[in-house]
Amino acid sequence: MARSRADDIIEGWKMVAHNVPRPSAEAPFPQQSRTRTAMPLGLAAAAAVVVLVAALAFRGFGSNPPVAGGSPTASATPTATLGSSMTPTSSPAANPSSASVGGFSTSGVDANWTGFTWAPLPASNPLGGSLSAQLLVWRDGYVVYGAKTDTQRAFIWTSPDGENWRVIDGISGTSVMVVESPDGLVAITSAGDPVAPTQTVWTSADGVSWTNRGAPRGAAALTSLAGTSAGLVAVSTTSPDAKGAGSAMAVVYSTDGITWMPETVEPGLAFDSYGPRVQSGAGRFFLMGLVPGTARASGLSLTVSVTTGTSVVWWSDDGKTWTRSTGTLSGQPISLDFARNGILLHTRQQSTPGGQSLYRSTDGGKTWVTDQGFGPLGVEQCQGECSVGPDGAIAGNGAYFVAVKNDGHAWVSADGATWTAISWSGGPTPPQGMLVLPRGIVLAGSYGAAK
Amino acid sequence: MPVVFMGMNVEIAVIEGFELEYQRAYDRHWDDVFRFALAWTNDLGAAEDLAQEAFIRLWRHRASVDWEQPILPWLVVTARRLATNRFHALRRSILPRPSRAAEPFADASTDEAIRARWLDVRAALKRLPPLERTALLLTTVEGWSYAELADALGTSDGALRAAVSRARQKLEVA
Repeated sequence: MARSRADDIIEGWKMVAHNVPRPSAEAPFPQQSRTRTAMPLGLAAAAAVVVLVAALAFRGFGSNPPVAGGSPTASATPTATLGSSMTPTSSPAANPSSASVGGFSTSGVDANWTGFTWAPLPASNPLGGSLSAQLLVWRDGYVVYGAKTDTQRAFIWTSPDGENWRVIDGISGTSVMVVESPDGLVAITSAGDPVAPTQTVWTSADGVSWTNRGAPRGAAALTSLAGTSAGLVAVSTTSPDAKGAGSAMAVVYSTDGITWMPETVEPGLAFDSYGPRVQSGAGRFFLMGLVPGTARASGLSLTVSVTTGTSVVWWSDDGKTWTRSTGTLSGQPISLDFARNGILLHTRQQSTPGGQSLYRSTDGGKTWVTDQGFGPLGVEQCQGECSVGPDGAIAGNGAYFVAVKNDGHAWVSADGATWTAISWSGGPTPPQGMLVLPRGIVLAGSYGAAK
Repeated sequence: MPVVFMGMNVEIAVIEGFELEYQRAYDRHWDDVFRFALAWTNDLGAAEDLAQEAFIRLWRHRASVDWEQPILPWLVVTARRLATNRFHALRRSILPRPSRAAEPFADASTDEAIRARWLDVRAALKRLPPLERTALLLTTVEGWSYAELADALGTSDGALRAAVSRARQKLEVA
C-alpha cells in the first residue's frame, strides 16, 4: 500500500531531525556561566544583522571594463527587479547635500518614509526567502549580500539604483562578506567548517565582474571585515586551527583584501577567541570588543578567566590609527546601524543570555550615550525569567533608522534620538530579519516600498 | 575568587557541584529538547537556539533544580516558555545568529539530500500551528506519550489527540 502524504512528511522530518549534529560535544557554556565572562554566542557569525557601509566614490555599477586576467571569474547575469508592484511611489531623490556624518553619501536613499506599500515578493526573488543579509552602499549603487537561511548558500546582489537588482553568479560558499576597497569591492567567501573555514578572496572594480584571488594571505581566517576607500580592516584568528583553547584574534590591515598585515590598535592590547568585530560606516572604521583580553583556559578541576571585559569601541578614518570612543558601554558590542545623523550600537549583555543594550552616537561614533528604552520600542514585557531587550527591531539604511515594535507600530529617525511615528499598515510582524533597503523594507517575504 | 596573575586580575572558579549531573542531562536530553524545539518552531536555527538557551537556564538554576526528578520535562517546559516569550524572535531580530545555528548542516556530514528534504518537509509542516505540529511529530516519531506531552505543553490528553488527528488531515492535502 502506498504511503500517505502525512507519513511521508513525518518520515522526512525524522530524517532531518535525527541527522542534525549537536552544536558541540560539550554541554553549552558552563565555564562562561561560572566565571561570568562573555558568552561566545554568535561571535563566530557576523552575518545576520543589517548594516550599512558608506561610500564616497564616483561611478555606478558596470561603468568599468571587466577586470583583465585572473581566473576563474564571476559576473552578474540575470537582471531582476523587486517587481512592478513594489516600485517606490516616491521618485529617487539624489541628495548629496544631506550628508553630514563623515561625508556619508545618501544620494538615492531618500523618500519621505511616512509609511509603506506592501506586496509579497515573487518566489523567484532571492530577497523573498529567509534572509541573513547585509546592505552595502557603494558608488551610489547597492550591494546586498549574505546567506539564505533556508539553503545556507551565500549570495551577492547588486543594484545601481536600489530598484533593479542582479545576482552575481559564480561565487559560492556558505557565507560571504563584501566591503568597499580602494580598488572597488572585495568579497570573502567561506565554506566548510564554520570554525576554521576555507576562505576565498574575490575582487571587483565595478561590482559586476569578479575575480578569484585565492585564499587571503597573512591571516588564518577572517571573522569580521570592513572596508572603505582608504583600505580594509579585518579581525582574524592567528593560527590555522582556531579550535584550540585560548586562540587569539588579531586586527589586520590590507589595501587589496588579498595580503594582510597585523596592526596594533593599542600597545599591549590582545583579544581572545571571542572578539572583537570590525565594521565600517560613514567612511569610518569601527572596532568593537572587550578589553583587555579575556583569555580562558580550562582544566580538569578549575577554570581560569580574566574578569575584565570592559566594552570598548575604537574608531579610525584610515584603518591604521585608532582612537577609543568615550562613553560607558555595557555588554559586548555586536553591531552598528547607521543613519544620516546618527549611529546606533547594539550590545549583548554578558551576564544575561539574550540580554541587549542600545547606545547612540551623534558625532560619528566618537562618543556614545545609552538608550535604555531602545528608542521608541521600549523593553519587551514577558512572563517569568526574561532577558532585557527591545520590544521589536531597529535597523538602518544610512539615511534613516527604522524601528518596528512587535505590536506593529513603526517609527523613523535620522539620528536615533528623535523618532517620528509612521504607518505600518499591512506590514508583517514581528520584525525579525528586517532588511532596510534604500527605498523600502524587506521583511517576511514582503517588500514595503517607502511612501 | 579574584587573584592577581601575571599582573592581571584573574578569577579562579573551582568547579562547583552538579557539573556531572548537568553534563549527564545534556548528553541524555539534548536531542529530545532540540527535536521538541524543532517541532514547535519548524526552524532549524531557532530550534538549536532554544535548546541551547534551555540548557543555559538549566545551568543557571542548577542549584535549585531537583536532580532526583526527571530533567526532561523541566527542559521542555523551559524551551516552550522561551519560545512563547519570543525570546528567540527578539534576539534574532537584531543580533547575529550562532554560526552553528545558521549552518546546521555545514560540517563534514553535510548532506544535500537531507537539506533538500528539509525544505520540502518544512514547507508542508508550515501549514500546521505549533501545537498540532508538535503533537503529531513527538507522539509519532519521538515516542512521547500523550500524557507526558500534555504535561509539557500545559494541555490535555484529549486535546493532543484531537490535534494529532487534525494535523494528519491537513498534511494529507498538503
